Amino acid sequence: VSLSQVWIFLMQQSVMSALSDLSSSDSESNASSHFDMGSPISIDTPDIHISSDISMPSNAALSPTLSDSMDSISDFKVLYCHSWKQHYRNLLNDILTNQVLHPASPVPKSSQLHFLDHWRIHSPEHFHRKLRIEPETFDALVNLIKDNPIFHNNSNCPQLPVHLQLSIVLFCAGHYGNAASPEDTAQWAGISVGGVQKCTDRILIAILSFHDDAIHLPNSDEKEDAKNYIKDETCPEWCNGFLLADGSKFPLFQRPGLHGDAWFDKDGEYSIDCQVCFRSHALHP
Amino acid sequence: MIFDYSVGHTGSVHDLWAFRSTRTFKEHDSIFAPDEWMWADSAYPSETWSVPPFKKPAHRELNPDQRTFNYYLLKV
Repeated sequence: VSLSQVWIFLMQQSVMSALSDLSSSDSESNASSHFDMGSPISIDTPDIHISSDISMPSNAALSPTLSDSMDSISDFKVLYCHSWKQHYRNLLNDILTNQVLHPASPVPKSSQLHFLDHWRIHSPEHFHRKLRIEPETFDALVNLIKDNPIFHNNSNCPQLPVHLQLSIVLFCAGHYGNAASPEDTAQWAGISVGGVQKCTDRILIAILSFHDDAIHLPNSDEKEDAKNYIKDETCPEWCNGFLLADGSKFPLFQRPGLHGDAWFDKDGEYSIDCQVCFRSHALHP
Repeated sequence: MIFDYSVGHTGSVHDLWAFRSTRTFKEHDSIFAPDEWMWADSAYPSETWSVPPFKKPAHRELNPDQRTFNYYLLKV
């Protein structure tokens, strides 16, 4: 779905509204045809083809006057049509060739990511406070995901290094409410809001590639481990109960707009429900 | 180690209802052998393959055996 399709849609809308304005004024003044309403809309260029019939069935009422006035093409109409064509061509060209239509002054940015390098050596508790994870776990995670092809864009302008992307995502995931907003995260990391979004997407894609390794039916060894654990903790008769199930929830920052009340849980928060079945061994390493 | 999960239900649904969409619930026949089961929270159903703790009845305490059972269930 390209930009040009969106643009053509918008253009149709604007022409339609212009048309309906014209037609209403026409019907009031009973003038037969000041403008030929049909022709400005059907612009035949290689890029654009627009006809009023596509999306406006209500225009069918106009068609008798259109065909009547088709014979008398005035100079004015030709000019009118030409100027619209030119106008749209220029706009389309602007949209297709520019990333920023109205450039603003640069956004001041200052990254605090370099503190993490200092903290991981001199005060791991600060590191933990920001990323909610131990430096060792962090390194293990980076090693696990760094070879994922999602981090290679084959471009002259490479992505942020994987460990920085992971830091940004962990900061976001470890905070709550507006502190975890893309805007605040972007400010903390000195990147753009869109960059935060992209980092999150990439990191999650990389981590989810391990989904089936991490979450699967226990094999016979794992089952045996779990059973032995239960046997040790309780009694031999209980050892066949090797799985545990419980519910948890992911709190939401705000009441969702769609079906808001349905997300209200028994603890008076808005949340997404999560049910987990796990091996009993897991919680007691 | 996590083995099964279900996420996405709204927070207002009961644990039991959300649990019905897990693989464990749907395929419990193939996951658990006849003499195997899982330990569950008190919100879950009591089945041959699902063992929740005893719930305290209204206006009455649990008897000592039930309390012992629940105590050791917590240790799991």
